[in-house]
Amino acid sequence: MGDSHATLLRKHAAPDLLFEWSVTAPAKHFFGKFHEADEMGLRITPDHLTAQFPNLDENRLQAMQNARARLNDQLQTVLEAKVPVLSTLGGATYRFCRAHAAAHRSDPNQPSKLSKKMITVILQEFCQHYLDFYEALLERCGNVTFIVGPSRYPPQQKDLWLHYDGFMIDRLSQIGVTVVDIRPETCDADLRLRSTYEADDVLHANAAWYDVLCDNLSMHFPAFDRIAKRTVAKDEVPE
Amino acid sequence: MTLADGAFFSRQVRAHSALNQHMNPYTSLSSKAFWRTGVADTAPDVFADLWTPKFSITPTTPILTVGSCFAQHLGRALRDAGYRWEIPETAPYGLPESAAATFHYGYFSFRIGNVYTPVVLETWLNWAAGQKTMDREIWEVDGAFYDPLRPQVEPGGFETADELFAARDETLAAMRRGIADSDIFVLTLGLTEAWQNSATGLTYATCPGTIAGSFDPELHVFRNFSFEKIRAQVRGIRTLLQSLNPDIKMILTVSPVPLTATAASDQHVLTATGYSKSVLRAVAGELCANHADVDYFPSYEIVALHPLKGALFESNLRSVRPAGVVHVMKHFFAALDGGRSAVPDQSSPDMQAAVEQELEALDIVCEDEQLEKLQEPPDEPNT
Repeated sequence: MGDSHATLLRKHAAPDLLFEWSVTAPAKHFFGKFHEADEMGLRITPDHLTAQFPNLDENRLQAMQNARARLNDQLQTVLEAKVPVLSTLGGATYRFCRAHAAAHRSDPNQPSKLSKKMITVILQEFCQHYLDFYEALLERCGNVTFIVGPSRYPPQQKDLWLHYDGFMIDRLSQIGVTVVDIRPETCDADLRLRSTYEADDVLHANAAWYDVLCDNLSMHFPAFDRIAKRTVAKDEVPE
Repeated sequence: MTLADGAFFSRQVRAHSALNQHMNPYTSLSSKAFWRTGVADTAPDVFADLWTPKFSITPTTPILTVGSCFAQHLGRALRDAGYRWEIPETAPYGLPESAAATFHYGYFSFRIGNVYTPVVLETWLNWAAGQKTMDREIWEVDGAFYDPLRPQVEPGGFETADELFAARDETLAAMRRGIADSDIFVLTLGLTEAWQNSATGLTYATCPGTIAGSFDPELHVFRNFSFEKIRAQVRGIRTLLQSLNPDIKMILTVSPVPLTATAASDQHVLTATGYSKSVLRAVAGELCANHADVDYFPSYEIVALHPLKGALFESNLRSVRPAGVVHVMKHFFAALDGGRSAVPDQSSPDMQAAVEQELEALDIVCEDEQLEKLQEPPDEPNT
């Protein structure tokens, strides 16, 4: 479940490991409040789209409504299956930092350095719907694992980026979500992704990173052994 | 002299006297100059012609506001009336409005908290203008760090000293930028009493040990500034403002809010309030009289003098009721000419648009990964 990082994991694992259920879409589909949870269940909803994306034209709004309807269908099958959930959802660090950078560029009156307390309040506001979603998901699935995304931050966004990841790790751990964090294995001393793990674009990780991730996941989910074995086999191929 | 002569003389004296009465300096004055017509017959309505602005203020005139707690209302009232209240130090993107207030954004043009005594503003401006080296004193309480010039702006204090100074740098940069770009600087004078570090001379925003810090009787000394000192401080402020923007003009006001308490030896808080307000009012009057670029707006008189019989105060006889602020601002706006059509906020919509644009571009990056997925029907196992 989650954004493009989740899709990449699924692609990377295939064909040795196939995910039977998935709820994946670009991060924007999980931007702002995207769900409702009540006695009727947990649903992904298009209800707040117009408030979150006020500039969408009719066609694009319709496309997003369709996408959320599809995501909700997928979510319901996951909930019915009662399987453990692996998720990158809420790992919107890149999106969060880019939004702040854009705000700062557009308004010279924006502060360039924020106190930790202030960032925490901002994160609380930005991430609350993710936390609410995870809480509702946990109630229904019982086993949810959050994967911390590749830490590819520009130097000037280091504080904001690391705060974001730290905030999500802390809060999700507190509510009982298992957190898989491979930054120690894949990042430098500043928790910045080493270039050997960077994909060709500006935010994703490459296959080597997913190998490390799958190796780590195998400690939680034995099925991932298959990927780990594949990696070992590949490494053992004589030159 | 006959009786008839005497009568003639008497008539002449009365005529001369009547002529003099018509020619004395008061005869040509407008109704606002007389208590009965200017005040007694008008109260509690708006006093006509109470303030005649020295310089033009239109909805497009960039205005800054700083000062004591009463000044918090001025900026918002200006904005709500469609005037261009400048906030060169805005709350960071994503900080909810309620939280922005707890971090003291949006009360004044800068995030400097309440400025009660002019010397505190003078200190800020000296640092902003690079005229004096920044004092590095900070108050540490239970691992939290407080700025002695604005101890209330970070709830619970800053987590590190570096954060405190980084935030101070942000404010100083905002002051330089805002003053350079604005036409009017509204300063509300609060009181004459303050506490100082006797070793360094730094004047604090509040007494150490009240909002934050701890009081040291050996180090912290009480000051109740004289007319001359306050005048020098406000003159200093004017000079520093003009060093950052030679064309900037000042509007001085005096807060009608009495002192919460006085530390002046053996003083009653009522007489201490009288002293503080009198000195501040006199300084404002003198600067206004002597400088074409300094004006005085009489918020103090409107609220605190007896014509309104204290009706604009809350029951504690100290806080000004919201209706009092409205009444003060009615006088302000009544004096301004020009249209008061609402001026669109210059920054927020553009910033929001920029963020949306940025995220849209980002979506394209993600969409590349996901395009095929969105085109697909739902995954088979999910159907």
